[in-house]
Amino acid sequence: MILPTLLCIVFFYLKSFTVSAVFADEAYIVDWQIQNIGSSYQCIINDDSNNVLVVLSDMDDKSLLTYLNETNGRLLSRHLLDFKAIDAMQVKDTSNFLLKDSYNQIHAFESEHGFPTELNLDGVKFKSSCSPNFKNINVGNQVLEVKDPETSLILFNATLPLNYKAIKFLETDYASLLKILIETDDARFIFQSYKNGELIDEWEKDESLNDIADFTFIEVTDKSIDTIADDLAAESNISNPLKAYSLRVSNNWRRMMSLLQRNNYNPGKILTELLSLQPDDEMDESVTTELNLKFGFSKYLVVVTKYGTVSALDITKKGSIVWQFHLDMNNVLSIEYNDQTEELTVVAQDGTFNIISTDKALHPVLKTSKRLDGGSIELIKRVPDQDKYFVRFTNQEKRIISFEGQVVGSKDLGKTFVTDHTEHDVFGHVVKEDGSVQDTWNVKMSSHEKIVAFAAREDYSPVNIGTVLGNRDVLYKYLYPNLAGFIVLNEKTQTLFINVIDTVTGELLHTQAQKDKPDTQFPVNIIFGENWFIYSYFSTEPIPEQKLVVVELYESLTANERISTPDTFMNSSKSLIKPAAISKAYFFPEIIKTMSLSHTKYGITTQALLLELESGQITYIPKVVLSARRKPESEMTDDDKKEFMASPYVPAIPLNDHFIITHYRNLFTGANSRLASVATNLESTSIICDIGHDIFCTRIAPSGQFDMMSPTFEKGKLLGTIVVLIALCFYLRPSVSTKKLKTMWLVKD
Amino acid sequence: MSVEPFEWAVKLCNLKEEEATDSSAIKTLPSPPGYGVVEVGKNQHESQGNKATEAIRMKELNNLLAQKAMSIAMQPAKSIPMNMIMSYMSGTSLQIIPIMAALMLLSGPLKAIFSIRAAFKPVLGNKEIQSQVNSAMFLYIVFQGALMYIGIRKLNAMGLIPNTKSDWLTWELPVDYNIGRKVFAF
Repeated sequence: MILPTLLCIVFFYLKSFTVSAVFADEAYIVDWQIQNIGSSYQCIINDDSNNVLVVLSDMDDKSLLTYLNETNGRLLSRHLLDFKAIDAMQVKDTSNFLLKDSYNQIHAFESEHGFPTELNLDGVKFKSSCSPNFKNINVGNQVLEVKDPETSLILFNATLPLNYKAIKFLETDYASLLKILIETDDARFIFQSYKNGELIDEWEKDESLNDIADFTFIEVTDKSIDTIADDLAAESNISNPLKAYSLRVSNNWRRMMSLLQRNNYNPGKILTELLSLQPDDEMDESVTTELNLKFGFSKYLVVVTKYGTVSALDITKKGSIVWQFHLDMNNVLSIEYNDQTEELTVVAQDGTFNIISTDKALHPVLKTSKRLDGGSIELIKRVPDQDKYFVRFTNQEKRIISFEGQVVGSKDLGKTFVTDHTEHDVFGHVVKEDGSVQDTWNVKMSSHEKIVAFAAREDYSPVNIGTVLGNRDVLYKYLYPNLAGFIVLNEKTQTLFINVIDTVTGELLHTQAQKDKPDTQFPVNIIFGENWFIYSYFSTEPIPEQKLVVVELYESLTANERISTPDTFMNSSKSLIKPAAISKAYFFPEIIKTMSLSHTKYGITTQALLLELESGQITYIPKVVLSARRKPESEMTDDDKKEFMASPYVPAIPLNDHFIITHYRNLFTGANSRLASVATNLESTSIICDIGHDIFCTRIAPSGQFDMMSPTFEKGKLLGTIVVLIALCFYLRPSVSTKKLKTMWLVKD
Repeated sequence: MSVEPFEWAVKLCNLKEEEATDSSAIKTLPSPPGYGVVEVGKNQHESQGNKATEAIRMKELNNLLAQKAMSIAMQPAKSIPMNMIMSYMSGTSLQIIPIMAALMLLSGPLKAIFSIRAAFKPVLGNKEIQSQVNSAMFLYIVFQGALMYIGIRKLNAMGLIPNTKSDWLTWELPVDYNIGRKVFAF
């Protein structure tokens, strides 16, 4: 009994010593980008001399020029034009092409690098090169035949794919060469190049991830943890501690025996496995996959396009498509995943919904396809942590529904308050028994006012209820959870009003105004964190500048003064304390397009403010930098300087190159891009995805990778030293005791 | 392994060794000063006359003992300035060495106070100077207390003594505002 116990202990310690490292330098290894061109290629221009295909496509209300390598289809560069081109023409025998915009103006470009050029356009008649010339071409059933113009005999032919939809580009010399670009009905573009009837080049571009309506994340669960969880559950069910202990010992003994068997009782192999001493190049894919699973990096980003194509992208494998599923629906509004039932629910604007059941996020099968009654949907939001939805129909009827079909009301949900907003109103509702909602309060804007940004406070379980100051005093945070902040633009006075309301009663708790002539042509954003909110806007006075304002809410600004009492039941509708607010404004050098907050598993890591910039880059600022309690250096006392991460107030926040998480990439985010953060099993790390015209994902660690081993950590050396020290002790002990004995007996060595 | 004792140890145990060595030189050497040979009961008169000088000598001895007690009491006082400077110079950053030093400043005086009898052993047991020894002992405790105070000040400066609100913040309960209801906003 003692021997196995000892062995188990040794085994356990060895195992716990050997936590494998994650590599710190992860740039271009963990992050990836899907560069989209557009769901429809408007025009394709071929430049033979440079071996380049130029694709003209639409992006929002502008045009995008994409340069592709003709041989392998690799994307060379993309240029967003500042106009919308409606037609294109290739200038014969030159490397130039012309674009015509909607005002019939002609713009000339050269096709090697995509720079605008000056061309003498006198006598040039604009002739579109966009529709392929099908003269002497026969398109039949999955085959394209090229005929001799003189004899009308078939020279050679090309095979078309099964789901062929259209030919977007065709070029032939009616002798030996043929180049075609085929569009398929699943938004793939296949290029084929034939010489003397033989296929010499073929590549395809997948454009099925364009026009993304909504997305969700699916966590791939680690099955190896399940057995340990089962063991622990079984252990906790036994009331006798001795029996529970013996169960643990026997479990560990079983595990050790399986380890021995796995390694054929070879001590060298066992040691290698325990210490995971394989060199880095032997860290094969299975090991990486296992680590990703263990650390919770393995996630699928599930996106649904406006036209009902659901795709699951593996975040750890550079966004490769795991599966794709086409649903027969249009104008999709939302996709949600329920991890209990492993089902995806996709809802479209006309009320149709499809439920796809998956087996551990794999093998999608359509389960239900139905239509909600109530007309077309304007807005649908999931009730947090539940499989129920709040729906606002176009006729302004609001309801809580469940796609299982039963009526969801206050009985199932408990007492529920919902706050909803439109451009001119904020509504407070309470859910009735039949699932419909009853108005409780309403904040109405006047005719020259509109809500330009709205953010509800996210639900946090507080890690720390106060902020510790430099002299070890406490400022108590204002942790009332039912808060929402919104920004109102008064068009008459050109003023922004920032309001914070209680979402149960609609009571205005805090308000402040920005009178520095905000320019609302630029994006206005607000996000609400634990006891603070941050908003961004572009002001034109005194100088045009992007501004970031942070407001922190405290119970009281006097240190050590707590107003809320934890023991008494707080009835917020009666005696809600008002927050005390401090605010600081900062300049930011770039225009901020979207803001978001990073999320981690336990919320201990300092939150980071994720910023998507107008320039197509993504960066982040740690919340400690954006603190409302920063003071100018001259006003800081010694105690203030002692505060954790305290720094003096500097009005400009520089754009730090180390915090640009897109590195050298150029992102085309489009008009409706969204920035999302999802927690991993490592508290330090969060997965960030930007879903817009392009899709970009990476991992960030806002407080540093404090729970990861550095790649230079020398595990072998450390363990070796310990072993040597133990051996030394074993040798030294008896030799010292003989020495002592000899001295006592006055005996020479 | 053959075991061979030291030469001096062998000679010490050998009884014949003394006879073998020439000890005449040792026997003819004079005694060291103050270690003369005393012949008991030989001169009664002389010892009577010595009693007066004996009393003076006792008084001097007591004075010496009182001085000794005082110097024992002053020992911790001497290290006060040094400890003050050291604890000021080592700063308030949390490192193992300054923390250990501060803890030593706390534990050292405590130990010294509990073993005060051992410290004053050379001067104890003399009834005539008992009161002086007592006052010296009191001073000794006071100075040890001063050393302890330096240690406590140091620990406090490091923030290791939980005497502010932030030290007990973890045990303060948050308010559950939403008992029995759900609130969400879009």
